[in-house]
Amino acid sequence: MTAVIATSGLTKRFGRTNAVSDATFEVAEHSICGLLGRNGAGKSTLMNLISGQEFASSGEVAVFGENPVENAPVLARTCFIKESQAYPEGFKGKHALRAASWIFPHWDHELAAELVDEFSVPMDRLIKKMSRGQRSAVGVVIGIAARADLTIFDEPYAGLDAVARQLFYDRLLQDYSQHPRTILMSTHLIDEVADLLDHVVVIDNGRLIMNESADELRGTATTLAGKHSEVQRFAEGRDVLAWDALGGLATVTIVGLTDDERREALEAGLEASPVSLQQLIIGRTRGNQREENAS
Amino acid sequence: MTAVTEAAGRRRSDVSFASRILDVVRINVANPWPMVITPWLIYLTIFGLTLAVWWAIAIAAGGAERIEPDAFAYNGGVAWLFVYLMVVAIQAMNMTFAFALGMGLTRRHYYVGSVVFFGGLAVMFAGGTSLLSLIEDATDGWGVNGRFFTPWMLTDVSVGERFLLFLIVAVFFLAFGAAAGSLWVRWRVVGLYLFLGGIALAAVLWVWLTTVANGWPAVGEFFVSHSLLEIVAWTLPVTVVAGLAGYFFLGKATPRS
Amino acid sequence: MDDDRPIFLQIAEQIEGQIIDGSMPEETQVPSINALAAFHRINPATALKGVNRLVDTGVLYKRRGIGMFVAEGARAALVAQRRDSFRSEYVRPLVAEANRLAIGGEALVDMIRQEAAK
Repeated sequence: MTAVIATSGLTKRFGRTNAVSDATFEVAEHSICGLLGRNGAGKSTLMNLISGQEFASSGEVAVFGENPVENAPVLARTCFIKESQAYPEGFKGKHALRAASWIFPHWDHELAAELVDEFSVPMDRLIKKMSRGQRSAVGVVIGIAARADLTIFDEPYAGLDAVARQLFYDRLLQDYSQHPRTILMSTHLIDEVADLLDHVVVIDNGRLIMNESADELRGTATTLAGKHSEVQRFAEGRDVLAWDALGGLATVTIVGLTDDERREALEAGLEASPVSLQQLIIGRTRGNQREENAS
Repeated sequence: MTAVTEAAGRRRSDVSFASRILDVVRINVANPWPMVITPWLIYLTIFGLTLAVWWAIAIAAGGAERIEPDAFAYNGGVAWLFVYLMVVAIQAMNMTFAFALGMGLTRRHYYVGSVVFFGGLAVMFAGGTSLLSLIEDATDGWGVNGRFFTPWMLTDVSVGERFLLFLIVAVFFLAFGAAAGSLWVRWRVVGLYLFLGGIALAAVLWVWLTTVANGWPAVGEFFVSHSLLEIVAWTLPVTVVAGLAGYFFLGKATPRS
Repeated sequence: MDDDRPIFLQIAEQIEGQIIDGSMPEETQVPSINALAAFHRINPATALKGVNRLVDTGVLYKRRGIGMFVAEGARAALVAQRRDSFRSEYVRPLVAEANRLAIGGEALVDMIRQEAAK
């Protein structure tokens, strides 16, 4: 595996709070990595560090093998679209796209024109007078059409409706298939992007709590439902993410159930259902809070 | 850590210093209206209105020759342009900076490219104003002894000197704007207050020191015995300091939205 | 995709299903990785992993520069394989549920006969 992004012990402090603490992870070349977490968990700060826009307090970050801060050859291969992307004063949609087309060596004019059409970007409107969704669409078009070797999207869909978001995922995936590149995308709409991801990094309170391949994460947790006593027997001694009981019934979400154990559970009259990525992450982040409250 | 060599080595040649500087200049002129066209329109509109007033007065007085020769010589219309340039520079350090970094430009390239662009702006506005001042000379002040582009102290100065004067003052305001804008991006309100407070303090201190040292006659002597160009040239060190300060402020700044 | 097991497994199973039900006969070409990715809205690497799984088990084979094809004998092999797991996957849970409902062995067999005759 060739790592396009590699961080180790990366930390960013603002005053006394740690926005990012001791983050160590890698993003492989030509893969789509999801950076997931709640609002304020440190996703944007981590992306700012990776794109050289923020300076690390300690630890290291390497992009294409080098420190990205003020590194022209590295940054020239990078495109970073933020949720509330800033545009120069007086820019209309067409000016932003024109400027981007000059800067990015692999810019595809035809693709950009198609995307502008599909997302109905008002090219002749001042960006500061656009709606949130229209402004996001400008960023999305630039991010896809730039074909930068490393494309970073920080929650790029603000104000886009479900249809436009689906269009974004479809077009991103389509162009990524034809022109492989490395994509790092932060989002809290986990279920929407789950199937697109190769790799999942979950950040909570500035700390990485998951850093795994998306395929390995799927199927790692199972929810069992049925008689209280049976459920309890299965849950004993296991990594329990969630537990609920109602009268004689109970449900439990547990990690690491083998195929045989699963069959055993079914034969014992329990219902087993897989847990989605989103539920798994919610379970994990909740668990962290419990630990913190307890300590 | 896994191997990264292959990906790192490729396509380094794509980014020459000159091409990145050109990219920054092009970001600034992707929409030529706010930076290039609008200022001229406003500038010429102010001039047109001033001229209309002059003509109205001349007609009311019964002809230009009935008005005192230097009646229309005191005029600050040109100053507007310099203030506008300062605002342009402040905005460029804020919004344009954040956009440029998202597009993968470095702070260093962004700042140098902006300086090149600002230099071009200064040359264009100084050159244009100097040309218009030539027309003003040739038409005897647009037929009414009007002195818009060559107000009182510029009336008897050669066109080359006028160009230099305009250029030096334009560059001064751009550098000042760039420094103030960078300061804002780096330290927000706190930085700007400290900066403006510092300038005010320095001015008060200078006045106080001059008074204590009984230096006012010497100051007056300086302004009388030196030409306008020599006096204005004294802003150049300040311009250089502001320009360098802007570079260092922005060099460690993080764009925030 | 619809459930939450690894997607590459679902892709592999879906292709197997199409081979078993005859909609993808032997020696026909399988859709390209990019087509699979776009259709299922999944990462191409995941689609590739699913297809490679079938290449490894000999269900599909690669023709250089053209694409993936269904191997000869793939259907028979898959049917045999599914028969093996039929008992544990379907019969055992069925019997377990029948026991809970106090449906005796004979009654269950009768029900199955009736269904099969339909």
